[in-house]
Amino acid sequence: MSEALQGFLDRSLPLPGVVACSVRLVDRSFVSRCYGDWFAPAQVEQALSRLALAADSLAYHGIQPTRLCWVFEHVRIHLALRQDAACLAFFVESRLGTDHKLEGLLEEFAGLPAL
Amino acid sequence: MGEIIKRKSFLFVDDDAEFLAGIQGLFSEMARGRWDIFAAENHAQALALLAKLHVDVVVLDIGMPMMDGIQFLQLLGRTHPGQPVVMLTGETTEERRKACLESGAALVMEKPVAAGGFATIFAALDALAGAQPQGGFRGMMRRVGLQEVLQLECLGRKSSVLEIFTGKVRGRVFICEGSLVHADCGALQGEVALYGLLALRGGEFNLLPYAEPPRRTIKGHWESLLMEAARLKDEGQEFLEPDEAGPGAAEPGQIPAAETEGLPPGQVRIEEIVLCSGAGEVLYAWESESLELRLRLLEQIEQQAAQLGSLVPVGRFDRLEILTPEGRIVCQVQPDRRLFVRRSGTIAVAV
Repeated sequence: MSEALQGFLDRSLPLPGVVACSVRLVDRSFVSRCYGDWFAPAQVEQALSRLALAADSLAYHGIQPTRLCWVFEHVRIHLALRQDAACLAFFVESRLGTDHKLEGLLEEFAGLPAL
Repeated sequence: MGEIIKRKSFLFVDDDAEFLAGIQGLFSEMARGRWDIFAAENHAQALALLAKLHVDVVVLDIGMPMMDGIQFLQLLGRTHPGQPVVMLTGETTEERRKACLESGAALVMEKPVAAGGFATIFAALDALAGAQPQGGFRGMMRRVGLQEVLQLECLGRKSSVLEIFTGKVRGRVFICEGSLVHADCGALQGEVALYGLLALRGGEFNLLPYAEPPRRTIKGHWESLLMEAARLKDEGQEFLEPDEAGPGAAEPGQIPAAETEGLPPGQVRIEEIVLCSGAGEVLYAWESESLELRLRLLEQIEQQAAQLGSLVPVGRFDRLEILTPEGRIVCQVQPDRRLFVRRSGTIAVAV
């Protein structure tokens, strides 16, 4: 993990409402942080793999996503995709209005130097 | 990009060779190359043709020697289940009509005596052939010319009950001696139910023998009612014209605004809408170049959400919001509806 990513995660987290965060690096390894009892790291990493695959599959429909938000009853999953195929997911409690705070973080992640 | 128009195919079965030749010539001219018309003078010829080719609609004369049209209709129901059949006859009685409908005929029409009548039959057959189930869509979807069917029933001063159903909507229109007398659709009754049913973009219908409705809720001439239905349907579409959609037309976004081109910041434009019932029937589509692709996308998202839900305890899925360089897409999958909305431009993020 690069210093830039380490610094980004340290600065950003924990954040109220964010129950887990996972980054899939270019080499397909993961860096994950979980808060509380919601999820285990293995769970969010497996979920992030699926999310990345789902994002890739949108190309078949002519859609080139830069960010996605999967909205579920209890959790919103924000996904930011980078040009180098690295991606980040924030798992956020749906009941809390913290989405706007994530904007800057998602943008910052997309603009980080090589991870 | 030009739309590819699917050719429609018909098999006319009639023991009157002169009538067959006449109708082949007339309808070929009216269809301007969009119809393939086949003819058979008896059931044996018809079955031989049906063994070799698929036709969208079989049009049967009732009064034929050896095996009459109704017997042949019943035979087709066994040998070619699901084959749409229209009965065309020179002399019909209410009893025969009922027998035809109960045996599975999609429509019963009288052979016209004036030239104008053929145009009505042509329109009805054209609409019915266009109402075939569309591939890859659960075999449910039909593009139904309900207006044409009602028009035909009213013009012929018929009595029948038109039952219309989609995955979630079920309604009936009662026609008594060529007048629309009642309609119901869920809790709705009367004209409002009629207009709602006529605004449906897809579904299936059955034409049933007439039964008196619980009460008569519609008055007025059928032509005025159908015109009003068409007007309301058009108004509904205008409401969603892109120019009408300002920033307030878009729902608050949880995804931040993107860098987009073509529209000033703060302005959005709805580019595409597809709305389906929970069963996947298209209820409304606007500016969608590939409906099938959109339906597949919604289905795919539903499956992916279910897979995610099995991995992590996230609860019921509501929607996927996608931010692209051009704008934003919302794909909502609910038990009773699926919605795809694509918009371009940026909006201020509402929290």
